[in-house]
Amino acid sequence: MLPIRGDSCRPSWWATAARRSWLLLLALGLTAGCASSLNPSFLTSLGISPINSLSAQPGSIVLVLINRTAFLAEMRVRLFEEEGYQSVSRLTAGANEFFATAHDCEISQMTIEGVAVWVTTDAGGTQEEAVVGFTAALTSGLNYTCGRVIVGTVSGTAQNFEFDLRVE
Amino acid sequence: MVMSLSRATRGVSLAAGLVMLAVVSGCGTGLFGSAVPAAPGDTPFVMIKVINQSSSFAVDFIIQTETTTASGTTVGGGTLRNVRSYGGDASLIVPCPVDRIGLGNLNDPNSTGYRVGVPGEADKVDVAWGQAPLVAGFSYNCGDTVLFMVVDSQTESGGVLVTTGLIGGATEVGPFSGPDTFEILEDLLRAEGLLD
Repeated sequence: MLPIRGDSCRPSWWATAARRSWLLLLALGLTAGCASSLNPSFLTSLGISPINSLSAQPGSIVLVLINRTAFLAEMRVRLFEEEGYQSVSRLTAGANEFFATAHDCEISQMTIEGVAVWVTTDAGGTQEEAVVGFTAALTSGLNYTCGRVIVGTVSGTAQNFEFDLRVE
Repeated sequence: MVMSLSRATRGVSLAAGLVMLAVVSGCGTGLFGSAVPAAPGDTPFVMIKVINQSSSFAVDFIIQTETTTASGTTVGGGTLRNVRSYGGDASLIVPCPVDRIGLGNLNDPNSTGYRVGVPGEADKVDVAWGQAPLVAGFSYNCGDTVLFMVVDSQTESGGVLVTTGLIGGATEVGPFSGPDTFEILEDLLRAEGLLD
């Protein structure tokens, strides 16, 4: 029998609903799955919690300053992100302590722009005692890769300290 | 009916194909496991992550931590400067235990917790966080990532609103297909004698 209008050639209402449900599920699945690799601001516009986006970030680069002096120490780092925007981080650690920060793997380059050791003044505050104003440029893919730890170690005295930089 | 089933089958095949494509392209990591940890998990750290989702401001975050032991109270933390808009992020990793975490002086809610400014310009507006500190065992636990997120706001001081969030460490214990940065950090610090 030839099908007539409204008969079996035309998808029934449940078949249409099922197809739409599949599309809805697909959209939801892709949104949830892909959300993990999308820009958080885009996620916010979709009303999705940006927390979900963090699980699939490509990882972090960790910067650690280890202070082996008896004073406060500081490592001055400038980070070059995507789009050329610069982010500056100052790291300070107390005596025989460490200070660690993590940055996303989109950082293409970083420069250690100097290291300083601080001493306590007679007035009870702190002042810069000695600064090494060198520049060490580190480039992603050449000097470090995503997931690695960049370690700066300050040792010696406040007036005559040494600085060692390595990637673990 | 035959045609309906055929179309439904094609729809399912298409859906499966697209899902596979999404997985292969890396979109599925949120559903099928992470490549890298988003929180310290079973390593002895708390990560304090700041995310700037504002549309036009650069933000300095003044993070303070506090740990009380038998020998006294230690105040730590640091400033994460010039975190860019549209999803820029940076983190502080602190060893456990850490009792309280907040922005600005933990004992003074009116102290400057963050600074908001135009990218590329040095001057920024000081803004108080105005919230009670986050407390260990209540707001977060060792191994977690604590989040401070900035979004645009027409009504808040400085034009941005800071909200907090958490990534539980229990969900981030691996194994991971990518490098476990926290484990590398733990091994390094233990070798240096800087972790108990």
